[in-house]
Amino acid sequence: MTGQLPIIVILGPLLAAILAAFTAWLRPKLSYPLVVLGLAISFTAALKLVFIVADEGAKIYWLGNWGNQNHEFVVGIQITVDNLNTLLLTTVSGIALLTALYAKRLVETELAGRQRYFYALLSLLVTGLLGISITGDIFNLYVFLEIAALSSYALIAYGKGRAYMASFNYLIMGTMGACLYLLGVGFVFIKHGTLNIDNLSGIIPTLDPSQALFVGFVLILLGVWVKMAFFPFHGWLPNAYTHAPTASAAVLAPLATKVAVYAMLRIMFTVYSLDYINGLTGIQPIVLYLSTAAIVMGSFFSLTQTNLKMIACYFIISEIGYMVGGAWLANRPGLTGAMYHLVADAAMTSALFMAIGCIVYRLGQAQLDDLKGVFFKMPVTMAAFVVTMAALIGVPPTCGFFSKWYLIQGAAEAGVWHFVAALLLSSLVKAIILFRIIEIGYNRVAHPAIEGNPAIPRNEAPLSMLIPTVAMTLGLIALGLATNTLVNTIIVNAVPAALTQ
Amino acid sequence: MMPSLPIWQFDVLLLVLVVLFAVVALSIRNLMGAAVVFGAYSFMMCLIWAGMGAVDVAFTEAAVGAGVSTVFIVSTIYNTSATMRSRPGGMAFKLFIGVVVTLAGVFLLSALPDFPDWGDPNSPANATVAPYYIENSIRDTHVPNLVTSVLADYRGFDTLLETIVVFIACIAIYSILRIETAKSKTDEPEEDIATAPPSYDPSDSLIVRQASRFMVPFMQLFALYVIAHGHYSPGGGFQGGVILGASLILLAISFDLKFLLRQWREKPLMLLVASGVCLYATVGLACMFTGGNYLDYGSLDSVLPNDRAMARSHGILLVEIGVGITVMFSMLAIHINLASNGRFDRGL
Amino acid sequence: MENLIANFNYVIVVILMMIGLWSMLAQKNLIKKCIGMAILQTGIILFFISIGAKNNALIPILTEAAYSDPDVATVANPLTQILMLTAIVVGVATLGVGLGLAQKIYHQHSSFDEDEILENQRK
Repeated sequence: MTGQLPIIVILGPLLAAILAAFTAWLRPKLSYPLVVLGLAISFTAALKLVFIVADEGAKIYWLGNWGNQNHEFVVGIQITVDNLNTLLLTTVSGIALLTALYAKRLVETELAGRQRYFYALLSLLVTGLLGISITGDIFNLYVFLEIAALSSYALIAYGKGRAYMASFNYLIMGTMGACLYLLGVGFVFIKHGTLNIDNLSGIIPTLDPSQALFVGFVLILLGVWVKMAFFPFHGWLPNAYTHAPTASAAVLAPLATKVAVYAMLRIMFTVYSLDYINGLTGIQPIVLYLSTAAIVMGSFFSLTQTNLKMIACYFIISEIGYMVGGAWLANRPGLTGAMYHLVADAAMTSALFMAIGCIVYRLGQAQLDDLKGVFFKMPVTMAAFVVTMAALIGVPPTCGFFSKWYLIQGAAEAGVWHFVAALLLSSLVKAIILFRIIEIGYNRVAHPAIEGNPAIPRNEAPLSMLIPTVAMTLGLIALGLATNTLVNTIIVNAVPAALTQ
Repeated sequence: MMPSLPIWQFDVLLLVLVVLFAVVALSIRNLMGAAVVFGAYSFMMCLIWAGMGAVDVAFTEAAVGAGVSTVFIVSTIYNTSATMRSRPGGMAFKLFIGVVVTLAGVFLLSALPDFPDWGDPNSPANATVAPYYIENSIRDTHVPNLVTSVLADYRGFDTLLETIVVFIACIAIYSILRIETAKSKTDEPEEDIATAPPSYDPSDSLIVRQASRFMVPFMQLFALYVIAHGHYSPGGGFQGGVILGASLILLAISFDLKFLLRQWREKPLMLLVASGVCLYATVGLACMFTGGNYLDYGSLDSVLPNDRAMARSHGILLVEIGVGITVMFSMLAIHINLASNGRFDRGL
Repeated sequence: MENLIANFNYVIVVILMMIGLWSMLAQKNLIKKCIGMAILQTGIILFFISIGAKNNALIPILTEAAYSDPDVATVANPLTQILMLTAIVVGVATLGVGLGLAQKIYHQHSSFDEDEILENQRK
């Protein structure tokens, strides 16, 4: 049974989604528990895999049993689970499960009467994201990218009104990204004739430097950059996630972009190699400058926004700059920081969007001016919000501090001071925004929507939303405290071996 | 190496035509015209692919690209408007994008000298993994159509996911467009434009009606043959499913959407869409319960007659049927949604 | 020049890709954007099919005579064709969703023009 765990991680949400499409017509009430069950199965399997892989090393699973054909190359599709994969699988399935638990009330109020396929689509989105983070075949990765993308277009379009245009823009940009990726795969394929990541990682170093491989690399990179909204391809993200229903945004925002970052890491360090990246002396500084630009630009625009969701979206864009920069530093602390931040940022963004969701649930929107008095009315939510913001700023002992610690260490080692400056600037901007919100939030005049019954002093979001929010926020601190274990048992094995000696 | 066959010049002509059609499709001011030219573009494209020996791909493109895609665009335009309003300005932006795109093109072309020669049977792409399929497909699966065996077995997981992509598209379009009739009046009053009867009623041509009445049974028979005979000839679940879907779409276009909706209610239609993927996924699960990996049809030999390779052959047929069901009903459901603007009543 | 003729397919691929990308980014009409997207996708499919083509090869369906010992050089590459079957289906799925969204947008703003829609939204 443990041999089947890698596929069970994907099959959980996949089968749940298919069944939910039936129950959507036959027993509409069953769809939600089915999807939660599927996600729970997936999360359990992923958690088990973490320990198995940490003990026994990478696991390989051949779909259709097409692996051991006495052939030099794998002829079927392979699923590989190594330490980086398990890290991501657990993050994705865990956050998806928690968000699904959290989203029920939000969906009932925001999408009343239109939620027939919502949970099926949510489950399919998670299937796609899990698939990207587990597959060992670069073409299969493309198909999973499209699964995740198509379901997210629909999830965003649930927001109605301006969401349609935002979703359409995302569709055009997302398809462009996927097409560039596929074209890049073609350039790799024309030189190698195989799509299997393990086989590719064996061949590429043995070949002479070739222009086709370089063009393929750049195309794949551009493709995933569009998908992760890296500067200057970030244009689609803020509108898409702001106008999406809060429930969709809560699952899309933390996960979709991080998974694309994982895809970039996989292509850079497994399909291509560390030596190849270090050989690109012309490109490395450019990417680092772009990362700095992403951080600075994201921070600047988050200052100019008046909508809390918009601010959070620009945070995502600047955090993407952290990870891309960390990966392209291509030294041990930088990469450790990027991988650690993959988990940490997913958790932080998730907690942030959950807290915003609680506020939106009561206020109906999230304009900064509407937050007056919110600290008195929703103390628990706002406490979670402040802790999350502290994590984003990088206050110890939250996880945000440690990822910044590694990233700054890596940047200092490589002598890339503009990246260090950008990281510090971004913290500063987030602190400013936090204090601005505290200033508004402690204003005595409460917003009419959260006034409620004057006899009851508080007006929190319902418990089904509050508990996951608090759990995720506590998770940020727990993750920070567990940094040592995480880095020394899992991430150390995920960083390319050449760096750890 | 320069091929000496005259067919090669034909290829060049087609390739040039394809570019021409693409440019025309994008520069034509009338959207209906653009859709039709785009259909012709797809058709040219599938001729090129057929010329390169990719018959299955050409078949699919003929059914999907030239057929159903064009219908989708046309039914969208039918519900909206075919005219493009011209607005002055924006030339600088267009020029800028043009420069960026040209630079990208030059960058791509810089890799050209590095490519193996076109049509070289010993190029890496042709000599690495691909020979395995050619040499072993018969032994492993008893299927002479290599495309079918690789599609549904060696890379069966891709195909499952691709079926799911169609399924997602179907439920996504349903979620985006479908308006419950009871709510639509209060919800989005501005959509009344769409309910106004169109100036031209396409369902009044006797010739078209009788011709399609005559054609539909043959199309469906052919589609079933395409699915069932996919092991030995070009075709399979996708192509057959699309043709089945197209036959019903033809009925809808030549008569009226109402005519079709008398037979196909919303609920069974959407349930059937899901049942196809469900069949595919269940076959995969069954393989796990009989002791194999996911989608390892070989392990089904304990329940199916004959040896492992034959079990694979049967497994392929089962999943192709699943693909066919999902694709057929998805295409139909997408068309109904696009053509009726999500009202499931009247439309193209 | 020799190289250009031998790789004429790839040149066409690049041209189609440029046309597709340009219209996705620079065209203002949503339907035209969708058509551009489809052109970009077919361009990529042409690329893969060209990779897998072999001179003087037959279609990838074995004749009965070749069952026991097929000649690899005379059978076209099935792998690239499978990949592109998947890509075609993904393409039509994306096109469908795009058109669905475009319809919704049209009924909100009575226009397919991106600038006009954005102006409408700002109001």
